[in-house]
Amino acid sequence: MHESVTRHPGTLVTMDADLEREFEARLQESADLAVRVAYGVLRQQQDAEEIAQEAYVKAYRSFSSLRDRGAFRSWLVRMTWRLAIDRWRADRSRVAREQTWAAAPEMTPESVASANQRAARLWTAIDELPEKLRQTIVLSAIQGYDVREVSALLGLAEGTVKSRLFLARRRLAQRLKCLVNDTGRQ
Amino acid sequence: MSCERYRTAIIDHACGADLSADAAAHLQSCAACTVLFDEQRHALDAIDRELQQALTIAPSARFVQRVLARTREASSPTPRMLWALAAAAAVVVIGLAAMRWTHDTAIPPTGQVTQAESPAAPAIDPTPAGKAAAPHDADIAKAATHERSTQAATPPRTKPSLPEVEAIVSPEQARAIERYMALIRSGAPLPANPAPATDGGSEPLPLLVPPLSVEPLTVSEAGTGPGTSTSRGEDLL
Repeated sequence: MHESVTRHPGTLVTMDADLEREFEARLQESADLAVRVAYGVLRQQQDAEEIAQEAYVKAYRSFSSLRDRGAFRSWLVRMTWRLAIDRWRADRSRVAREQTWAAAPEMTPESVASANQRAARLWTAIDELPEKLRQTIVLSAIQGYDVREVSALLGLAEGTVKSRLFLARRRLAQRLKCLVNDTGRQ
Repeated sequence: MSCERYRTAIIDHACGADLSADAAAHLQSCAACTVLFDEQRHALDAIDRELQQALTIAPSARFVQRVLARTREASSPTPRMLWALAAAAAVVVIGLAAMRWTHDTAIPPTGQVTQAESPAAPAIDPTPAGKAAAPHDADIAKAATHERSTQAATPPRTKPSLPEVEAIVSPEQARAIERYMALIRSGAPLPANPAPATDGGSEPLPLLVPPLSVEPLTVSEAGTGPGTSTSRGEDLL
């Protein structure tokens, strides 16, 4: 198909009508995914939508090379994650103050804690994961733990995704003291 | 006990790791380890559900419209961009104009030549009345020929608007030369009358325009005697 994106000096990009419609279709289809990926880092809906918008504007500028559905979603996830992490790091001090870590009660698989407290502890534990593990577990949760879908979005082998999921879960279980009969292994 | 031996592997298996064949065989046969596995799996499932639930958010109702509005902004020039483009274009135009002006006002490299050297200015034969004799057609043709050969010898720089003559002339003289050349090219008969003719314009059409920087020839046939000269080119016009 012919190149129908015109580039102007600076940041001007113009597209023909077909490409515009195609972009809008991709946007409609992937809006949930982009916002959730950003939310998985920022945990503020407004911030997540702002980041997702930025990612879409960048996608718009590069859309001629992203017309394939798989390529578009994969690019979108990675770009959104990168923008969200950058924002998160910039606001980290503020986020750390907002997410107070209360002294965690001894947790057993049967213990019941308030939903908000549990969620706060969970997110703090996720934030402490190495970035690759964090990205994998967040994306897996968004995609319903479909390893094939996650590997396509991240451009990784399925075995790598499984391995990262395992490591992320183990660390979370240790951090949240959810390991049954934990003998002190860290 | 074999349960201790396989405990870590079973917990890891609950976290998603693969299980070796012997560990799998033990798990199938050991009720205690099966309970261990189930409890661990239950805890991790709770984490998975918690995470999934926290991430099940929907974009706001106007999210798509806002994105489209921003992409439209990205494809429309802002006033600042327009001003920047206009300023850049103006700079380019001014630069080109300055280059052209510099070229047009540059002194020709061939410099000035005297009237005696250049056949482009035929010899002056002043009449007793002090007026210039009209150049003969042959002289004008000779001048045209010289001019063409001069142009051929000179390396072309740019296409001049006026013929290249090897003399320093005033603007009025330059215009007069241009009119002469036009007459020559048109093949129209040149006036023989030394009296200045007009071309219908406001300015008289000179017949001969000698360079001002050259001393005119002194002619004795007319009986004017040595030293007599028409020292100012303007008198011949």
